Amino acid sequence: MSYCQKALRVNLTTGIIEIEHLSEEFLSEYIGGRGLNMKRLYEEVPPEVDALSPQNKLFLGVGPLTGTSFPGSGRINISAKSPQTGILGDSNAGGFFGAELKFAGFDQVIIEGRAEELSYLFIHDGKAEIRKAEYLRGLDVPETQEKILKELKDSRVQVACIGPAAENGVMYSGIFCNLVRAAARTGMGTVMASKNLKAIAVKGTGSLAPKDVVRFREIIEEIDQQIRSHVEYKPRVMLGTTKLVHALNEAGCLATRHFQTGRFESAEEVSGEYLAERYKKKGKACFACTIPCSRFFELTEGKYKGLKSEGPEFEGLAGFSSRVGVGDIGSALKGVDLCNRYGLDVISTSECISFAMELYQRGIITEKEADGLDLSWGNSEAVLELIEKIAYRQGFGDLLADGVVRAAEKIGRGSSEYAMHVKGLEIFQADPRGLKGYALGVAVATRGGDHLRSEPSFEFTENPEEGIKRFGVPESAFRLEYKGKGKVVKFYEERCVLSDCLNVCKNTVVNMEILSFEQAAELLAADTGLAFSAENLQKSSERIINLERAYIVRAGIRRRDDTLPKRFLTEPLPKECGPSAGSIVELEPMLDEYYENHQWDKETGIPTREKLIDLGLENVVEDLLERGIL
Amino acid sequence: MEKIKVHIQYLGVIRLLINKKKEIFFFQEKPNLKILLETIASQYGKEVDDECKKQMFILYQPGDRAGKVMETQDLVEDGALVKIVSLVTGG
Repeated sequence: MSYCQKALRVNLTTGIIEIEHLSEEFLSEYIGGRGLNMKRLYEEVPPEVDALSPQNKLFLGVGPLTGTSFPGSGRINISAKSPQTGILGDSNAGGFFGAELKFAGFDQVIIEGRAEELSYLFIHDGKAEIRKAEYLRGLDVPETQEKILKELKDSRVQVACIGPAAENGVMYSGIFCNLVRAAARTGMGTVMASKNLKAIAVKGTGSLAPKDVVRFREIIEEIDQQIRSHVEYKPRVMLGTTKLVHALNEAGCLATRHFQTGRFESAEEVSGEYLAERYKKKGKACFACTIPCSRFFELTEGKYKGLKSEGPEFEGLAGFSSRVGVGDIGSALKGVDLCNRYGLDVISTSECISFAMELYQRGIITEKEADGLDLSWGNSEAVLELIEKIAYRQGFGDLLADGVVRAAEKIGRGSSEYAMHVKGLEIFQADPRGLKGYALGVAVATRGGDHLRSEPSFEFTENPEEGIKRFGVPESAFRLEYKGKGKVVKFYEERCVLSDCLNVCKNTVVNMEILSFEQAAELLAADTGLAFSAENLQKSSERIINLERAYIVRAGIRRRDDTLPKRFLTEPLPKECGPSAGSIVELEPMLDEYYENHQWDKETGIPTREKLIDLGLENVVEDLLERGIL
Repeated sequence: MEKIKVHIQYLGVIRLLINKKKEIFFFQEKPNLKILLETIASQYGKEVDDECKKQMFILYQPGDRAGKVMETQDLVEDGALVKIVSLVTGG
């Protein structure tokens, strides 16, 4: 598929649409997708910009493998300054939208300014137009897509849109592709809404064949073979990420009742196995993917009989079950469905609700303050009602709609202690005390409390010889050990960057470790005709990580912010958590090792001048010097 | 002769492959992990055996409510529960 070497710049204020050429140098240094976006973000959105002002910019980036036959190559990165955290905003979605953008002739889209009236952007085969969207105001995600496809009279158009949550300014609103494929984290939907932009529709009929079609095809066949023979293939096909409910529960680190324990007594009733046996209709894959890890389901019984959708992923399933103490899968699936319709991030939403439930449990807030809702654990109706209140900023929902940090600030009474976030971004559905490499990764992730910036799944292998071979210490292969995790996290950060720059799925490239840097270089060379090497790709990955670190350092982030909520650092997991019982996170030694491996200052967490220069980031050095940071 | 009764609970891929959630096996002596695997393989064949070798076995000895990841040398007591579950991986 190669590169289109084109970026579309759309100024919604002036209505001017321009096409920019992307140089080979830019593409070689930043690869694609996330890399392209981060470079632009650093240069075009300084820390002084208000995230909800017209000066913020929304970047959509795809990679050189997007739209090819590489498995899962339909992903897209969407980035901006985050209104939720005030630092780096970046989100990634699967499905088919990314591929369509490539077919339409663009590697990147830059959206700036603010439209005078509600609009949507239609991109088609090298062109773009801003269209009126007032008739879409207030519509949920499926309704929006349906109406746009009807207007354009083309069911093959791909749509990325926001729902009512973003229009109402909920800080953790996402941008949804293919209805349920969410670029959910860090409030990218909120940014889009602030620009008066309801949707982006894309149709492309272009084709960019790989430069060396034969070699490209050969490598893809090797990749497919590696995937099919991988130990993770069957679990992914049969259960996808929903397998993690039982797996984490047995390991004793499933987020339960807001991390008060790691074992959920009703895990069976909300498990991926339970869902597969009763309600799965068929498997579903993303664009070109060998692994149909998603599914269509339909509830055939219970209160939500008739509910049907694609999904869920583990984060949504656990977020509206174990995290809130609800042991009914129908209700959990309904919760995910509401978030998809309203356009909400399931992780942030489930954290805000479970936070409120813990405050209620502890008597810090009353039923009256919660609009008369009984926020006892397991009250699924209260959970679902709160999702709607958040989406429409009604009553108590309005307080939660700004995220858990701001909610805690407003409530006061010591509630901040119970806000499970890092740098303002709410954390996932696994207990960090049971996954220490993940704990470190979440603490240092450049977009805030996020597990997808590193995904150090090596710590599950429990193979001490491999630990020594790959990271120099046997403990690195054990999730309950902290030694070696600084190195492990750095390694996986680079794998995640590679995945996000190629815009292919992390399940394959990171979790299954398919596609080494060497293989990636060969594949890209065959695809683009450009000279890629494993060393350059790895260096580019490191460059992007350091650029992101510099971006958040520029916004004031230091070592003190690379932390975790107090519970994970000081309260051992309780006895019922089996293999993980008694565990806490030893963060400081892991941080020391992490900074050392990155060659960042250990006291501050700021990348050193030498490191930045080595990575060709002289302009960043200059910028940080001017700001008195270096 | 005294028999060792072991409760097996299938989770993850194994459960979906054999379409079964639980089973009871009887052994003459306390089994270890190797014997459990051989027993399941003889019952369900190679495909299941291959998948079982990639799973996590959580052992709940009688009276133990917490459980532990079963290791090669562990012997399963009479009345114990063993859960066979997918490895934790990224997601």
